[in-house]
Amino acid sequence: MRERTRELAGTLVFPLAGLALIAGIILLGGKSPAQGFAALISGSLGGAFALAETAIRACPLLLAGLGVTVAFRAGVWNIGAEGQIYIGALAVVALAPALGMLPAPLAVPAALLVAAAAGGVWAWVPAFLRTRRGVQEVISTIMLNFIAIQLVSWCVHGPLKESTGQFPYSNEIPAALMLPRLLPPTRLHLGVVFALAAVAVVWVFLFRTLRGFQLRAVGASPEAALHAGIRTERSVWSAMAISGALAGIAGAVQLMGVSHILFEKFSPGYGYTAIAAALLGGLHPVGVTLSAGLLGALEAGASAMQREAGVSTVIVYLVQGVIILSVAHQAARRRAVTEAIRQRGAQEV
Amino acid sequence: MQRNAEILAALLQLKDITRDFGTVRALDGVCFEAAAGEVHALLGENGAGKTTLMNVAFGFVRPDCGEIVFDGRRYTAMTPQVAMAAGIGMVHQHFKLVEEFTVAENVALGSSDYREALRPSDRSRLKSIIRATGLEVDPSAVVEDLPVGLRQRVEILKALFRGSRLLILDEPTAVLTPRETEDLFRVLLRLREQGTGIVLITHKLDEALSLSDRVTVLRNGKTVLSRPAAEVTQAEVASAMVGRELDSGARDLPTPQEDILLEARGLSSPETGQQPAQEISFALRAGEILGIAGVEGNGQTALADLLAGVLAPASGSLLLAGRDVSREGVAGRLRAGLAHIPGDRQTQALLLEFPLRENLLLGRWPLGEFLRGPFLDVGALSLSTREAIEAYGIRGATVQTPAMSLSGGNQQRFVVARQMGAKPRVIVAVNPTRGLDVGAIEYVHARLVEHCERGGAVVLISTDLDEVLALSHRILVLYRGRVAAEYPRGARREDVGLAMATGRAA
Repeated sequence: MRERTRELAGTLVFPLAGLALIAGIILLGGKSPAQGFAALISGSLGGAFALAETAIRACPLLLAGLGVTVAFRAGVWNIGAEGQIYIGALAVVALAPALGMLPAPLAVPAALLVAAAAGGVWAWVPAFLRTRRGVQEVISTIMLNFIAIQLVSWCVHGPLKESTGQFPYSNEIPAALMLPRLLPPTRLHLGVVFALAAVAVVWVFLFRTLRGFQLRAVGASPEAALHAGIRTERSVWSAMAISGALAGIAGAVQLMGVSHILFEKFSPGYGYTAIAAALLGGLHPVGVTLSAGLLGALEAGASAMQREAGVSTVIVYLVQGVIILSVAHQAARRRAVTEAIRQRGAQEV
Repeated sequence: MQRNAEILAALLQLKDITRDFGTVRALDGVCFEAAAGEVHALLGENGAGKTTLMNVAFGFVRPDCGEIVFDGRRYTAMTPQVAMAAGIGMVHQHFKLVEEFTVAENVALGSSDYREALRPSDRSRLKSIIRATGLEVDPSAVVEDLPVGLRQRVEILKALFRGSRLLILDEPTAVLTPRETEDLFRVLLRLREQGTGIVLITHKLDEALSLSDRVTVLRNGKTVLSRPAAEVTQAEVASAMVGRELDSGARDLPTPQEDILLEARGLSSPETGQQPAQEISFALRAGEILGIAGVEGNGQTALADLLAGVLAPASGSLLLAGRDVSREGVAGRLRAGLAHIPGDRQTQALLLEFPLRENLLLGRWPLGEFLRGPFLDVGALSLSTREAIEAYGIRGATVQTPAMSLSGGNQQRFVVARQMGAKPRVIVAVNPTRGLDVGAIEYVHARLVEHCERGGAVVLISTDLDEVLALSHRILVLYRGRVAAEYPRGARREDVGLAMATGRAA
């Protein structure tokens, strides 16, 4: 009982300290913390409009977070969701004229396929480098993020510049590629449905298919997987490809559902926040859904907080930072416990 | 070799030690005494609490209640530092040496006289300890170049150099050749003559009885026997350990049939950084157990990986019931009827955090029995797991229990159950009973023999010579990656031991 209480205290101490810290900072800025937090909550949860905003902001985080989940479960540290998001969106924009000529019911699936393929191929590069050249994917995926971001920047300044040639962004995608709004006048779009469908697909894949099991086995213990005849290289390849494909779809959904044009800084770090969402969700599809929702709510609420309480949106990144730290703290505690059990086992032997 | 345990002054006294780990009572009011100039054997099955008890004495584990008295002083908060300063030395099963350092540097570590050990011109005390005890080892040698037996000497030297008057050795012979074991015992007896107290934690009855003056047996955290070694028989101690009578060592093995199930022809492993296996040839008949003996590190791992399909051979071939399976991996060989029980159950055979259900899948997925299209048939998987749990008596486990929370013995039972469930013709078992208690060992052995009775065959690769002797129709001795000698059943232990140590048949 005492241990349970202590555990609970350990879980809560970080978030509570974080909230106190944030309240203090808002106060230092000469604003009211209460007003700030109230705006944060009403802007993310108060009413249909706020909820829709939360959902559409959660959408790319969820899709990319599921991708990160698949990779991390396989023991592949894909930090490259950000770049894969850009590449997915870029592929759709590049092929938009052709895709737009397809009949409407085919155009959207075709565009998602294109984005998935592009993200998958982009992610396949670090998988190749890791399995064939021993390059750590943590480094190669980050490097590829820079390349992807610069590539998009060059494209929107060059070959994909809008038709008048004045502004550094792409043409608006054809109407056939725009995701229908579900609840006008809110911006809630069909992509949210795709994201929730992806949750189910990823869950089934990870926990109800042999390939998904093999992938998790490789992530949990490459040596045990090897002795069980599982081809570890193939697992790394497929995990990366799936991970990149999901991130690519995240980029496409953001493009087709919200922005409709591609521009520099198209993603304000969705790919990195997705890592937080994946870890915060315990690398479980349902958990990631909840954490993406939470992070989406924070982003939606941040705008309201700035509008109504005059508190800078930067505060929200502080909140995110605190959440991520507390998750890391929890994970470290769990690892320590597991390790202790293992050592006790080893001692018995 | 035994001396009568007269009234020797107690050096260490543990009084009514109790310690819980979660809901498990690891030690339950245990009393234990070790005297100067006495070898005290501490016996018990795995999980009986022997190591925990000594960890209490050495300050690694704090007891929930009870008293530690060393040399007349009472210690309330024992820590390893305090224990070492007081004169308790402990040699763990896994050595704690810095491999890149020399012997002298390792001895110097953690000693207040470190300068003395470090300076080559000033090593008189270290050298006199070596001379007095017979712990022959070159102080300038780098530890990573030393064989296991010598590393153990370094550990003992470390303890003596710090002035230990009580030496606790945790399963010291588990890693030694018979020859090295003899050397160790000679050293221990000499230390005893010089007045050092020795506590020997061990599984092995014969060595406990031949070497020690007193024997204490723990079972389930309680002392069940504590008497002078001269007054007890091996059978008494064995039944005290397990709480019942055991059947004796050698088993009746079925007579092998004529047809050859597995044939290795000049198998060699590729270079992988470990000792490779070279040009291994043998033919294994149905109903036969082939024992592969050898001191650890003589190519067992490479051979096991070659047979199981983890490694592709650099040359040579492997025939399973006449079919060449050299190019098949683990999965292909399992489908062809060859299952393996890897040497390290925690890292190679199980996914510790995963539930048993998925651990069953880990070993059996190639057979496709748990698949419905691309999906897993979770119902069938749970059913098979439940059957394995029940048939193999893995108490307290469900299909959802993570492998991690089973005891070592039950983990191994599960692995054996899983691989047997694949209905293989040939089983390659690597150290299948390492670290298990007597009951679990007996169980695993019985399953392997049963497999042969049904017409299967077993390759038993084990560094435990007694196990190989007790269970094999034929024994191959592996030395530096090659088959150095072959013995029929009933070969003398000394002969096989000599071949293991020298690579030459006697």
